[in-house]
Amino acid sequence: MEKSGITERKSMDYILKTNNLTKTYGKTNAVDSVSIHVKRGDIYGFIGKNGAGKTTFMRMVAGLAAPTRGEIELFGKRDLEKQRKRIGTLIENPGIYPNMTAEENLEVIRRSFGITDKNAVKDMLAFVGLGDTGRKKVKNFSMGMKQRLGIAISLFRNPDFLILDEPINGLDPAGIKEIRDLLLKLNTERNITILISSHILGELSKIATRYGIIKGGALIEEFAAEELSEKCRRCQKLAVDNAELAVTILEEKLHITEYDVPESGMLRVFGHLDESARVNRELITGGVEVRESYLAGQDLEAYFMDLLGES
Amino acid sequence: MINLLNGEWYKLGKSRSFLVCCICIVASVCLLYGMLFLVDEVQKGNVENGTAGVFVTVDGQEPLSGQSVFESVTVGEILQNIMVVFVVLISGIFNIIFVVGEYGNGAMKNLAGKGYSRGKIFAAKHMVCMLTTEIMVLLSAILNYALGCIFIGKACLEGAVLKDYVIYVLLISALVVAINSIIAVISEISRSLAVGIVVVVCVAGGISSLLFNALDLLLHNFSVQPSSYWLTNLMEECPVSGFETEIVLRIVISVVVWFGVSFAAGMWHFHKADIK
Repeated sequence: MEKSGITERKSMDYILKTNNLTKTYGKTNAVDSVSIHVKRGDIYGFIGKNGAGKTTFMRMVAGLAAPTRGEIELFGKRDLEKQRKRIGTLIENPGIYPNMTAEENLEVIRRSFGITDKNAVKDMLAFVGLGDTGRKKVKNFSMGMKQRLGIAISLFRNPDFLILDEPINGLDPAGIKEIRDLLLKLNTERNITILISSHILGELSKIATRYGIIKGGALIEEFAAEELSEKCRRCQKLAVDNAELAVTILEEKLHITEYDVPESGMLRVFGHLDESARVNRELITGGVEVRESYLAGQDLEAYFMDLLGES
Repeated sequence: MINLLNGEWYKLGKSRSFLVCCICIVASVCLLYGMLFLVDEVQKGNVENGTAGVFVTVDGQEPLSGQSVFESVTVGEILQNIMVVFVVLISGIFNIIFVVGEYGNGAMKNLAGKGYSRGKIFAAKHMVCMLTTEIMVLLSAILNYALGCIFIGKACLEGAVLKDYVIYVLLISALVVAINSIIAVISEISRSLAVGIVVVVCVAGGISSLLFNALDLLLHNFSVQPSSYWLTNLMEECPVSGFETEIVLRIVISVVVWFGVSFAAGMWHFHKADIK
């Protein structure tokens, strides 16, 4: 019994898990065997070029497209129709009626899902900052206002998991900041797990706690934000003939403890970067043949571009 | 399901196109009576035929002078013209806008994949489409009857006339609903305004009847006449009084079959289709 409880808890730690999820159009795999893991509380940044398969993947998870193969697990369960009640989505453009006001748009949702609290509409509009739009028709809204209304619709049923596809596309810097702040607020205050795709990697890196990189329909890497910072950390890279001796010199003569040996004959020295010449000199004096020595490190965007083969 | 219908009903109340279509139906009925009134004036000799270059002919002949048009037509016959010419066209166009619009503005995504089965979503939307069609049919029938009472007079108030009128409205509304079921499903499948409009024009413009006539020719060796079960043909064939069992049965069977087939096809497609 206890064992089953533990299994249940472990499974519930993942809000979304897919196993070899595939969508095929004709002979093309738009999404190719994607196995993704979104943990409770994550803001999961889903990154890929146009046509990489991000939207198709999200549409399958949201129940808007049927997978060709593979499995989806939501909240640790496979009865997707029931579990999808706990999801809010904003995929591609927000689904709104342009000739209605923001309030009327939400009223359609309130009635369609049988939400009895009539104040819920006004409360939600106030929450996303659209409380004062009055009789203004949605067709006259700015792009940012439309996106916020789309987010309001996706939040209306108090979801535990939010799927947002390019929610900051086409927004000005102020609009981007508004959405970013709103998402952080939802994640921290309401404990909503978020799966978000965006092209604006700098923005994504400000909020994401975990990343998945998709290329040509396949998930090529999945890692936590801390791992990314580690990967992008600036360092002095050294190619040497004797790594063991080099490490001894670093520790005993230079008192450097922040280093690693990612592969044989290769050293990465973190910190003391302004003393790189001294490091070289001491290694050579100590009998180590230094074949290469250079300062390395990337910003997030360059790292993603590298992964996507764009650099 | 009731919640879904509630949402759809609210949307309908806010729909400007629904209001415009209802206004078009009212205007069409009034226009038809206006035309009949002018012909009546010509026939009575109050206005000379050919005034302002407008000539009135009845079956290609000069109208008989002295006789009122309103004495030679019944309220049912006028409704038949309204249904065949205007109501099918206008309700069809509204249904295209209503169905295709859901995909155009992306609002279908707000319902699909949110806990409701696809079947329930499709059924609710289809039911609302049929309900709007029924509203338009009833609007034209009631307005036609009211105007008939004014222009035709006491004849409309006779019990037998009213009974025939009610039966005719029931039969014709069933036919219009079945036609709109086909239009709504084609719009759902194609998700294209252009396709929907072409279909409405084909149906209302009589092209579909021509196709069924061609089918009759192809199948004449098998003693089958598909055109006698095609909805627009039945609309024209449907009597406004003296309802014989054969035609009533044919109408009922055709309505059930066409509605059932289109509903099942739409449901099947909506189940497997991706929502954009």
